[in-house]
Amino acid sequence: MMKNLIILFSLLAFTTLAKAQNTPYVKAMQNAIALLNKAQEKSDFITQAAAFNRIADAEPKAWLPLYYASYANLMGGLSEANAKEKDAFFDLALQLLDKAEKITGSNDEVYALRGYVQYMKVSIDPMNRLHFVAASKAALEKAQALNPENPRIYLIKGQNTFYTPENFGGGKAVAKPILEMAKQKFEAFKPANDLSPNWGMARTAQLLAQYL
Amino acid sequence: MKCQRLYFLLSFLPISLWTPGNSAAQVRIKGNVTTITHKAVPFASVGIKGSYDGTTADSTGKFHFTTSERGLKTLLVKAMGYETDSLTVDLNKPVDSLQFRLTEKSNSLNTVTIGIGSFVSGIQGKGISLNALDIATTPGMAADIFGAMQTLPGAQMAFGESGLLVRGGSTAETKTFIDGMLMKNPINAQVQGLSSRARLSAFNFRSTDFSTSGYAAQFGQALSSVLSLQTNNIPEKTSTTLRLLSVGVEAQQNINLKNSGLVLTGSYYNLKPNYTYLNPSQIDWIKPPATAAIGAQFMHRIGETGMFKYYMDYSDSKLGLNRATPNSMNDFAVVHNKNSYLNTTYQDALSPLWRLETGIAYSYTKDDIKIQLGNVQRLDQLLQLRAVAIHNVGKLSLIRFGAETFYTNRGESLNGLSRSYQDQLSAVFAETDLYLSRKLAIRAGLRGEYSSYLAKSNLSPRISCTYKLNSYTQAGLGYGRYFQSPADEYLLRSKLDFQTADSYVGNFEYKKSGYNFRFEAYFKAYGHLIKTADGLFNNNGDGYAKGFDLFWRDKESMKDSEYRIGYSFLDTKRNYLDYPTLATPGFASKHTFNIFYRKYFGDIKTQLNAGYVFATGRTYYNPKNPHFLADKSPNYHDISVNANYITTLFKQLAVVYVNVGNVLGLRQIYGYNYTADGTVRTPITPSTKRNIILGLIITIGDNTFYN
Repeated sequence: MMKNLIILFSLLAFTTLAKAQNTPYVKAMQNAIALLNKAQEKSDFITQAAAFNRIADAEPKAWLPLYYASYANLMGGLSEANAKEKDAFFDLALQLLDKAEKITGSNDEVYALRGYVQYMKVSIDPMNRLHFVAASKAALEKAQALNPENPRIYLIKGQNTFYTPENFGGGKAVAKPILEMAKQKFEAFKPANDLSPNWGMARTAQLLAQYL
Repeated sequence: MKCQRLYFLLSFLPISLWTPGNSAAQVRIKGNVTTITHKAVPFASVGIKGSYDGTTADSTGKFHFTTSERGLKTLLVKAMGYETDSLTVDLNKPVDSLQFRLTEKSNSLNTVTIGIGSFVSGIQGKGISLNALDIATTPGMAADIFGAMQTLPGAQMAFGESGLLVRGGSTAETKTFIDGMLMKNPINAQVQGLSSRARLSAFNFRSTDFSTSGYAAQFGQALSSVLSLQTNNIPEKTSTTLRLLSVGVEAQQNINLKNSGLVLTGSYYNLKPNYTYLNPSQIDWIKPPATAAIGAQFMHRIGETGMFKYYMDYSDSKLGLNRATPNSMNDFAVVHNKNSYLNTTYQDALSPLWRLETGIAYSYTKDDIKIQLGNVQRLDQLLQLRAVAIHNVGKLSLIRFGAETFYTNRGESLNGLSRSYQDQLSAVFAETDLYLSRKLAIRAGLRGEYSSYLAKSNLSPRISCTYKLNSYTQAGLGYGRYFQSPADEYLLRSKLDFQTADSYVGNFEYKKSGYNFRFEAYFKAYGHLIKTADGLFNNNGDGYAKGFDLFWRDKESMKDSEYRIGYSFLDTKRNYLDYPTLATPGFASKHTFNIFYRKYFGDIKTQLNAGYVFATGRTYYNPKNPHFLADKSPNYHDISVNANYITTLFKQLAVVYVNVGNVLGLRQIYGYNYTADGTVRTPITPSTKRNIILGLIITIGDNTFYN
């Protein structure tokens, strides 16, 4: 009898949990994240940015759709060749992060992504955009202060350093320990739930492979 | 029977309740997205407001999706670079062949830039720009803001003058503003015939706006031009910068606090070792220029949109020299200048439509001057209060209006005899940036001023109209009537009237990523300039300036390098001060040409800048020539270079800086001083022939180089 009760209760608990995860919001997000993970081309990223934007419009209190929309725009910008178009993607990504930050306040994921986008802004016109380098570093430091275990911070830091010329304090050699740290942190990292940001492990491996 | 019927109805109920969730009963929405000119807009997002349903159009602008939503719903269509479009549709039946026509968002390609003839710079980088780095690395200009601005077409090279000479105007005709507030005395201790530096550091400003032809109605009291500077926002990081130069030292501490920031600077410059060891001077110094200065900036963010800023600097500068005039062995000048400047501004967006800018500024300048005649003391105090409101109209247009007042107290004494004057100059202004369409814009403004000391008022209209010819070019026409009170030295002696300048300008600009071309032609009529007659002053002077400027900049065609070329033609004459007739003043070159080139050599971590400046000779007074100001100095040539080597020192980012002005050591002569009988003359020359400056800049705590 007792055993049956336990089974019954655990079944009940399971179904309520499953129900919570199956709200239209969660479903829409899971679907969009899955498609974003599969995205390859610029048009895929634009499509997914739009999908997250629609979810964000319908859920004005959620920061994650804005975060992913920003990430999709960043990726869109990276897959675009034209500098002006690239810039427009990155500007959009930054605007979306502004909105996300308004909802969630200080958030390590938002700051980390901001540091990524700001650095990409520099790459378009380095001589005139060096102020973005300082902004990017400041954002990443804020992220690290909030959550030193977030592996994406180290990936972005390492990647930024990787592509910074040696005489500006960067270079492959300086980047290596940071990227190795990122790898370690990724191995230990567990996302809070299905929807939490969980990208970057493959990119870390890709960068580290360049040292072989 | 009744019962049976009820059962019959009930049997359908669960089905009809169930159907909306069934995919088979979803409604299909189909359509396409184009521009208003029927060109496909690819990858637009189409969604139902308040739901997750939607899709992204394909590369030809076509879209279709299904939804379980019902009833009247709003469809939202968004695409990057376009205004969002919406449409209410009835989802109780399929929606076919929807047509969305999106309007492009306004951008620099489809919308005309308002205003004529400004060199705008800074982070926003619209227009033709010289950013802080450009200013710091303009060869031969030793990182002086005014020096760098002199290389832009429309401005003349200052020879023995301190400040900006714009389109036939004297240095007094250009005013400097910081965050909208007047900085009356931006230049360190100066003596006639010798160019002094501005006390402003380019790195304290995030943008500069240098208008060579006409300026907005929010500014006044400048016949020729306005240099408007915007101070930096909160520093991103806490860091320390040390600048060690062969002419002095400078330290700067940036402090980042969450919603506020503090920037503290201290500097000491002394040219004595420079003239002794590095650059032999052509001037007989009693006291080579020396300046000690401190500065502080505090910025504080208030709420989401408000910004409070406090800016102050204090400097103490000295210089003294024996003048190389053959008149007398005893002609000398020793100047000791102390200057304080405080500026507090608060800006906030009260709503998306209204913006408020307020400020209060105070400057205190004291000069102690020893000359042959005796001791001169000068005291100059200025207090300014200002409030401006900006109201957005539609997406692009705006109205700006406000008021400001300036209290001046100026005193002067010679050997104990003194005189002074006090003035309150008040102004109201209103101006609109009106976009009649994206192609055509008008800026029209009116400014009224009243001076209590002169007991005179003026009304100054400005209007300019710009038209976009195509994505990369625009043309414009402008007119403005500008007023300026006579210089303090004349006001101390008598109450006069405002001087005037009527300025007409036509402009053509070409702007394509990395390339800039600009042509401007202008005519300026001066009126009511100050004349002297038998030691008395009146407003009977006049004059004109006409000419054109050309500018070309290419940042694109060559890798890691860029260049710019400027040319100015200037024809100007005036009859003012003690001129017996209409004559070309000694601060105007007919032709000015310059070219600047920059290249970054990645493998040796060095940035190289080189520049060549040419100016035709200027007039000087020769008492033996029966024609007034008919003699001209030789043409001026200058080739200057500088190099920055980026490295690390004690693990901190460091820059080694070398600047060589007049590399070839060409003899540069600005004019001549004559004895009264005209028999003997001595040349007026720059303080050194060649000018070498060495420097080391170290930034601690921030290895992102951008100083």
